[in-house]
Amino acid sequence: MKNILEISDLSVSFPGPNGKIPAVRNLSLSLGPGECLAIVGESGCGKSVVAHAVLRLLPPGTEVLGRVSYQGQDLLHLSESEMDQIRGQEIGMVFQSPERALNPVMKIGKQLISPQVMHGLCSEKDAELRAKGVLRSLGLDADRIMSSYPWMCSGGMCQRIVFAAVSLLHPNLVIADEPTKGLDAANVTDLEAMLSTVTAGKSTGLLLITHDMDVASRLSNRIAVMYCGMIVEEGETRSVLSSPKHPYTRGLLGSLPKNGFVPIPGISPALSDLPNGCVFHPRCAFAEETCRTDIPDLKDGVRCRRC
Amino acid sequence: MLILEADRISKSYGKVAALTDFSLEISAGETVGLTGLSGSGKSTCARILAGLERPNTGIVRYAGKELTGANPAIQMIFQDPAGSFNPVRTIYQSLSAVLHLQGVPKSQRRDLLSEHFQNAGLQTEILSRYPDQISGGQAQRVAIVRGMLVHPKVMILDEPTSALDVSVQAQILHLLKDIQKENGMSYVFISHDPSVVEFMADRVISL
Repeated sequence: MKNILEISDLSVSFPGPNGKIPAVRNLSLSLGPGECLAIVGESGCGKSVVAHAVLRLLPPGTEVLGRVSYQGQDLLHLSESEMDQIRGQEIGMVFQSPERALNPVMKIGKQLISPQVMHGLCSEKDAELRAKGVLRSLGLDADRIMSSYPWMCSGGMCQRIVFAAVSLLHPNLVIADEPTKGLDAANVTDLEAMLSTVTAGKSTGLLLITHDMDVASRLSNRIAVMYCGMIVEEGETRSVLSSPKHPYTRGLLGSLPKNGFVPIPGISPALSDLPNGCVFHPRCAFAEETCRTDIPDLKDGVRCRRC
Repeated sequence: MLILEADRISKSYGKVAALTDFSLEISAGETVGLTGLSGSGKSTCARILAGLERPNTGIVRYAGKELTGANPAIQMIFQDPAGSFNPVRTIYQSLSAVLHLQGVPKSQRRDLLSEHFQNAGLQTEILSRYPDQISGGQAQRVAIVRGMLVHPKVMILDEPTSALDVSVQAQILHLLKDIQKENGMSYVFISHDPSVVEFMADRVISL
C-alpha cells in the first residue's frame, strides 16, 4: 500500500549567532496507513523539529531542505493557504503540554466546533453534536466540558480534549508530539488507548514522537532512534528494543527503570558544536579511531543503523 | 535521629481537601518516597514539608522545633527546573546571589561554583547562560547545585525527573545518590513513577 508520508533527506537548520545550527540532518522516513512509527531520543535531538517541519510550523528564518511528501505532494512547496487545508483535516497534531495547545480564553465547545465548520465538514449544530459524542466516548462529561475553559480542566482532561479536537476532523495522519509528557500512569494508560484507535481502522498513520520507550514499545510498529539530529537506528519496534545494534540505542535502553537506570556517560553535545565523525563517539565505550573522523552511513536493510 | 516530622497535617484550598491527616517521620540520611496519582496531594505535602506553605491543622517539626516558614536547612527541587530560575538573570547571577547571602566574597564565588559544577557533571560555560539557553537536564543539575550551596540537611525533591528523558533521568538519580552518600542528607523523593521511587527510597508512602 502507498505510504501516507515520505520524508527524504530532510535537513533543518536554525540561525545562530555563529552560523547555522543543524537541528536535523539528512533524515529519511516513511509511514504507511494503519502504521505507527515512533521517533525516540533525548530532548534536543530534533524529534519535535521533524514534526514541526512536516506541518511547516517552524519559525521564520529556519532553513528546511529535502522533501516531505504527503500523499504524493511535497508539503515544503505548498502555499500557506494550501497548508491551511492540510493542517487539521489531513494531518492532525496532538501537541505536548495540552493546556497550552488550547486557547485559554475560549470555551472548549467553541474550540471543538469551529474547526469542523471552518473545514466545511458539517453545520454548527451537527458539529456540536459530534463534539459531544466524541467527548462522551472519551469518558468526559460532554455538557460540562463544552461550557468550560481549558484552565478549568486537569492535564489528563485537556489531553483528551486535544485528542477529541484532532479526531473530529478525521485526518489521514496524526502526529503526536510527546503526548504523555507530564501525565501520571493512569492518564498515560488512557491516552495510549486513545492513540491506539488512530491506527485501528488501518487507514490512518500515527507518527509518535516520544522520549518514553515504554509508550513507544506498546504503540508503535516501527521505531526510529534519533541522536543529535540524525537517525542512528531504525527498524521493527520489537526487534530494535530486544536486540539494539547501535551503542546509543543500547545506552538509552540501559537507562530504563527495568534495566537499573544505568546512565549513558557524558552529555549530548551542543548542536552548534557537534564533534567530527560519529556524533556519539565521545560517549561511546566502543569508539574506534575511524569513529572520530568518519560519519557512518545509515546501513539499509530490515534494520537500518549508523554503526 | 529524627530530623523532619509531619504530625497529622491537613491542607484545604477552599472546599477542596488536598491533604488530610498526614503524618511522616524522616531520619537523618534516610530517603522517603512519596507516590500517588495526580491530585493526590504529593506537591502540597512537599511545599508544607519545605516550609513554603502552612498546614491548616497539624504541625511540621524540623530538628524537634516547629517549622513556621522556609528554612535554609530544607531545600526544595522543583519539577520544572528552568521555571525555578529568574529568566532575566544568568545562571552565575542566580547562584552568586545565594553565595552572597552565605557571605562568600565575590572573588571566591566563580571558583566555588566551578567546583560544584564539576562535581555535578556540568560545564562551567553554563554559568554565563540564561535559563532558557540550557537543557532540562542541565537546569535540574544547576537546581541541585543551588540547593547544595546552603548545605541543607533535608532535600524535598518534587518530581525532579518527570520532565526529563530516561537517559538524563538515570544520570540525575545517580547524582542524587552520590550527593547523599557524601553528605548524609535526608531526601523526600516525590514521583508518580513507582519504579523511580522504588530505586531511590528506603521506604515508600502512597498518597
